Amino acid sequence: MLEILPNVAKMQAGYALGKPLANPLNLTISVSYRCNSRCKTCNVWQRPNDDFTIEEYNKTFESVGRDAFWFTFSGGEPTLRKDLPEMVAAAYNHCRPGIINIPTNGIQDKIIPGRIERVLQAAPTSEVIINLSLDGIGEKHDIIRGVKGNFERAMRTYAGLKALKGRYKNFTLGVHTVISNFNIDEFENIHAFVTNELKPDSFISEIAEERVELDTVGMGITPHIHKYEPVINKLQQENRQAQFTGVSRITQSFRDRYYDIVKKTLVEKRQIIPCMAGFASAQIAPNGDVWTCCIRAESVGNLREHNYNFRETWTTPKADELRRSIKAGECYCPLANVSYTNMLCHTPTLTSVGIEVARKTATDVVSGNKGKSAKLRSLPVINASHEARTQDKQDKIGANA
Amino acid sequence: MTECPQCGTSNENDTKNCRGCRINMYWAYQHYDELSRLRKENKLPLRPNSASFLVETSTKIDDGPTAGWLRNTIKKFGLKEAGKKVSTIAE
Repeated sequence: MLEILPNVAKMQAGYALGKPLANPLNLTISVSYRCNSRCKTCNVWQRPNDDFTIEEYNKTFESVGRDAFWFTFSGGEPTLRKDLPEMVAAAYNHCRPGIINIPTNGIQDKIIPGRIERVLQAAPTSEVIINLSLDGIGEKHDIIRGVKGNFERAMRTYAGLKALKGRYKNFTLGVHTVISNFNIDEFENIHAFVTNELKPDSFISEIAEERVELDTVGMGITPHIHKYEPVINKLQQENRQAQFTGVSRITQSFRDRYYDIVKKTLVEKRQIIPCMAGFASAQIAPNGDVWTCCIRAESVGNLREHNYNFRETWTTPKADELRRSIKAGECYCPLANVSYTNMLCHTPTLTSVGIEVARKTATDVVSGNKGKSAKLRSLPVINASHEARTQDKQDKIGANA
Repeated sequence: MTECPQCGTSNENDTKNCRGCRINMYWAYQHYDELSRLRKENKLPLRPNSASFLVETSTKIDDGPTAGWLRNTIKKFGLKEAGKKVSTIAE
């Protein structure tokens, strides 16, 4: 984690000067608009497709180089692309990201675990975070996501992914919930189910928002602060009482601040901390358009027209114009992906996280507490990983017999 | 012409987003009734106050087409009935 601090300084200097001094720390690659979900909070699947090929990604990642630390492969449903592992391999070979994040709807339960296993093998020294989307329990999840049987399939996918945990140390399995007007009354049940039954490595919630990328502008899916605040306060309270250790403690500390930022953004309708989109974070659309973020989804240039040279595309006059607009506070949003990068580049937030983590660590050392969450994470979840190991052993015994 | 369920603006039949409020017309025909009921129950205004920068950006750059297959489905079955054809959930 510490190796990114020099790059953070470059991002801050670029922001101060109004010109990026390096390529973004945080790169989101939207690999396709194709999706087999029909969520009530997203219309991205309606967009026509003109997806980059693996060769095009190879050239692009080569030009991105080693500045990008955090890659997100999103969509659409990213696992629908058969060549997802090859894309990750291309990013890994050229950019060596510290973190690779991939969300999934979990619908293709027979395909996703195998495809993700190949992703894990393609990026052995990156931390690979797979977030399973869960917007309700049982049929309520199916109704929100527009797919009958989605919940059941998602649970099978979760078990399949959980089984990989014993074999890949670089794998973090998370659950991700979008809180919208359609499910805010159910959120406590979802959180309880995830915490008590699934016990993932991480649980994140993101507020449903209006994004140009998703064509959700004008839909009014974002919950009102009066509904959102009590729900998220309770989540924060529970998280603060839980015992985390190591990197999880740092992540949790950032997450707590992120939820505060969301609440303030809903009320104050402004950038609560400076937005570094256009400097520290960027997104590449499936057709090679480069955006500062998916909220505005305004293209600064297309990689195909710039010979797949990211730097050249990233420094067009249009990109400068958007950076000026973002820096001037002409937009605001609670987008999680960008908010985490913003916090990382915001010295007061970074300092307060550092102090909190140091204080809690010191308290644990004095009290001899090793952290409850560390113990919880070692418990088998729906016994999937345990079953898989047992099955492996039985297979080996069978093969030797 | 097709009337927007949210703001009542009259739009061309193949309009992707309402000219008046920017709502995605296909989505509106599938889900607006439910959302408006939820908003009413929660004493929220029926029409959201979308940030002006989002409406401007959306108007400026999001006049792109929908996927060809969806456009054809809507043309054939209409905005409301198309939902039964493109949804992956069984009725």
